[in-house]
Amino acid sequence: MLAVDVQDLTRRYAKTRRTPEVIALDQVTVQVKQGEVHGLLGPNGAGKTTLVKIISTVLLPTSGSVRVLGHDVAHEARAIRELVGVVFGGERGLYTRVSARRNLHFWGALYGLRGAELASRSSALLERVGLADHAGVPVETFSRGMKQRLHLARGLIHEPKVMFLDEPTSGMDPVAALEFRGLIRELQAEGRSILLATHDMAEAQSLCGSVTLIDHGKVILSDQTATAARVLGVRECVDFELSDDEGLIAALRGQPFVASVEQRAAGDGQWRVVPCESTGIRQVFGWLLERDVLSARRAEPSLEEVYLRLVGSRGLSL
Amino acid sequence: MRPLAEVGAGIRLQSALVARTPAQLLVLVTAPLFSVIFLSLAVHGGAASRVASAMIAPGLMSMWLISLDVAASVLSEDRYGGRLELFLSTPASLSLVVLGRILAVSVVGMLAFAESWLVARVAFGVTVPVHHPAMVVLALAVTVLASSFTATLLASAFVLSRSLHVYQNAMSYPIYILGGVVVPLSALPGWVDPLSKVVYLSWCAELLRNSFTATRVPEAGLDVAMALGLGVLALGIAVLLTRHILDMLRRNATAGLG
Repeated sequence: MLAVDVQDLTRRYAKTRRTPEVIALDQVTVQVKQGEVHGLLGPNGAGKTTLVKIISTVLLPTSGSVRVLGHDVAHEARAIRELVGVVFGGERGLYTRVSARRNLHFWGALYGLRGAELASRSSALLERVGLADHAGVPVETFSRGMKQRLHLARGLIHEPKVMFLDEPTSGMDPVAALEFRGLIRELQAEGRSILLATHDMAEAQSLCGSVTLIDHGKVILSDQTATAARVLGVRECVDFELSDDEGLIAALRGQPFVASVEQRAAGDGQWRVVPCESTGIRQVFGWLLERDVLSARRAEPSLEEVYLRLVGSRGLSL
Repeated sequence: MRPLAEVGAGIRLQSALVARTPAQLLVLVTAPLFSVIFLSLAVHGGAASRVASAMIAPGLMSMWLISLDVAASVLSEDRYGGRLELFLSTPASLSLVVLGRILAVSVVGMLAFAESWLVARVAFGVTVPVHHPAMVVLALAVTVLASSFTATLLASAFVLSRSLHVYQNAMSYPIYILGGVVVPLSALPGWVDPLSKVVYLSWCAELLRNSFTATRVPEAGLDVAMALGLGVLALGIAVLLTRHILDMLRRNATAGLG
């Protein structure tokens, strides 16, 4: 049984006096296996949050089928709610005037927890997310990262089997984001299935075994993270570092086994060679080594490069 | 007993919120002023027989006002604070949690009765005897429950409104009038009487007045049954209405406005 099985999901937002009808999701199909971290990628407005809300029973689908651990979101919402934990990004969603512990006690009680069990789970979770020392402090004094960790603890209070995380590290500083990713890895190690909506490609690359890329409400890529680049028809390539040698770069571009030589976004002096054929990779290595370019290494385009190639042309427009 | 646990969760949350935001109990500051007005009219206006009614009125008004205030704000604040969407992802009954939150402040609202009794004693030198203490306790408990049940219904109705404070204000004096709190129902036009029968507050007011004044409490059972019956009916409608509204919010994607 799949943790999440979305088939041909369409969600329309009806026309209002001020807005036209919007198709937020158009025939979307996504599958998340049990125990997997699946990345849901896409630019702002792509439909990621709408999908997460439908799967977590906050929104109803217009058409299509959505099942979570075999339960249908439209007709078995209550069963799903017992099994899933939801963490929406941002600072909203908490009672900021009361303490972190009080927040966990409240949300835990909504899942039928009470008494010593609720108290011990709350304490354990606060410890786990590093907020034990701030358990009695009003949440309004917390930093964004602390609030996000409290959100994660809230989402875990009933020990869900499936978790939906919607941009959980949005706005966090790099250190806090790194720690948060560590927590997500721990959750996966415990056997939980996780759907992670993000537009942080590095995060997706480091956490997700598979990814689905959505743009304008449509799936434009769904694959294992490690091999996602192949949908672009991009072969293995060679990365190397070379500074101030335009002549060598020009010579490399002129080789019959080279399809392209491009400077990488990673920084000055970082180059990527894509061979014409998959067998051309040996020739590229040989050619570079003969010229003492010892930094050459095999590579595949990163998820970020795939993402930029697929949706990057839109610039700032939605 | 999960429903009771959900009510309890609401009570504990609201108690913690009130402890951090005591302004929610501001009505306890204004209640003694109403007591002064009503008791002045009763004591100096030559209507000494109405002292008990004058003492009870501010308490009833405060309890309704404080319940109404929470009812008007609780769901809209959760909606704009992004908590209503999270709530939708839980298996709990929103109505029962809201009921718990309203109950928490309604119980505190009972202090307005004590304030009013003290104002009568200290400011006017009048001691209102309690002829039936047990009946007074029962009447107060029924009033708290019926007020909270009814306010829960209004909370459900308010969630869709963007002008909820207008409705909140509009729901105060009509209820006082129809409840016979400010002016005795016997002094109002006859057509008001049938309307007052469907307002829980009229039965609570009658029960409380009789508990303080009458040597025996006539038809106390009917008063209790009607007050609670109307309250339970309101709660039942609240549960159904909330379910309907939440389904609508899920369909229209408007649970998380703001």
